[in-house]
Amino acid sequence: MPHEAIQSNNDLTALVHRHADLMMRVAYTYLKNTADAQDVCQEVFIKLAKRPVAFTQADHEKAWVIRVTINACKDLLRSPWKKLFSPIGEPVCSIQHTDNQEVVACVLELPAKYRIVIYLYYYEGYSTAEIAGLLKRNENTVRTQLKRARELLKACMIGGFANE
Amino acid sequence: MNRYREGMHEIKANEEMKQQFIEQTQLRLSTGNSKIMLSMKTAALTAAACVILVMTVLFLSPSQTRIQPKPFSGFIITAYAADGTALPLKPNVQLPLGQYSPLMSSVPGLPITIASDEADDIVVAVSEGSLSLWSPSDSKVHPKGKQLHAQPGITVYWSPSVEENTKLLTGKSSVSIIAYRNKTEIGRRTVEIQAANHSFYNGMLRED
Repeated sequence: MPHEAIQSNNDLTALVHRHADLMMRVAYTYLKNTADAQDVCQEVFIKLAKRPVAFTQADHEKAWVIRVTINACKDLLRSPWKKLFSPIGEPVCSIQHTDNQEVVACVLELPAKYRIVIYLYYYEGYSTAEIAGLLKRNENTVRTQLKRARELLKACMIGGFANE
Repeated sequence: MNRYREGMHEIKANEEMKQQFIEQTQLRLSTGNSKIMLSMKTAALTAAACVILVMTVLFLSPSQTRIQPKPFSGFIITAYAADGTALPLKPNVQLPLGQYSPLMSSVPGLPITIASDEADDIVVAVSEGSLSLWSPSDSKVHPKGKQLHAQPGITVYWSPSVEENTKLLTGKSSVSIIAYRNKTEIGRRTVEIQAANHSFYNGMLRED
């Protein structure tokens, strides 16, 4: 059955190149595992490609991708398979620079609700209001979570954010 | 958080992964089946679960998996003492069956009555001696050799005579009694007959 939003292979290729890295980072932030993150990305691409109507604005498309990826990660974490066969945590080996690796590792040690807020705020550059909209949380809650996450990170890496 | 941003920037989907996303998505869109393609990890987990299940089933002891047949209790096997007293045989209880000698002309052997409400056919076979049927009304003895078919309630006669009635059994003989219903075996019992002395015999219903 043809999908109106995806007219050609070129459209699909463009979608993948536009969002694959974003999806991988969001999924990795939640799952801390490359194989699981890859699975989630695949599912989200299929959902994206099956959408009957294409997005008219890039921002909306990106926000949709983030929301759906987060939901897919939550579903995976809730699944009995995941609970029974939890893979051994892998080091952040794809990061070459040791200092960067340590900081990312510290963020990944935070609870999931803090990790995603940190990612969206510091990496994607969303405001707390936008994050609240994306995550369907109260903005004050997001601010509190951001503050709490920073405190935990400081405990993990003394002076790690001095360059802020 | 620059180092965090720099570190996260290195987490990305490589070209091979992107190509896989494209191919898998195309495949699923063309087939319309969103669950056809499993990732290697999911497939491996599924296979592992199947192996565990199969191993569990295979390693169950046959005695645990086999359905034990319901014990058959439909026989009432009655023997008779020398004075004619009826003696219902009970498992592992030895009872005197009476006296038999070829010189005794009153009966053709030691009578054993086999009754069953459940069976429609009974097969009796002996390891030693011989079987016969006898109807006192017509005084005719029907030799049956070592095996016979009988209806429930019939009395069969076991004779300890061997070697053409010239010699009596001095050892042990087993009488196998098998009950059938609709040509299907529903139970069996064995009566062991042991020579005592002076042409006296003891019988015991053996617990199978």
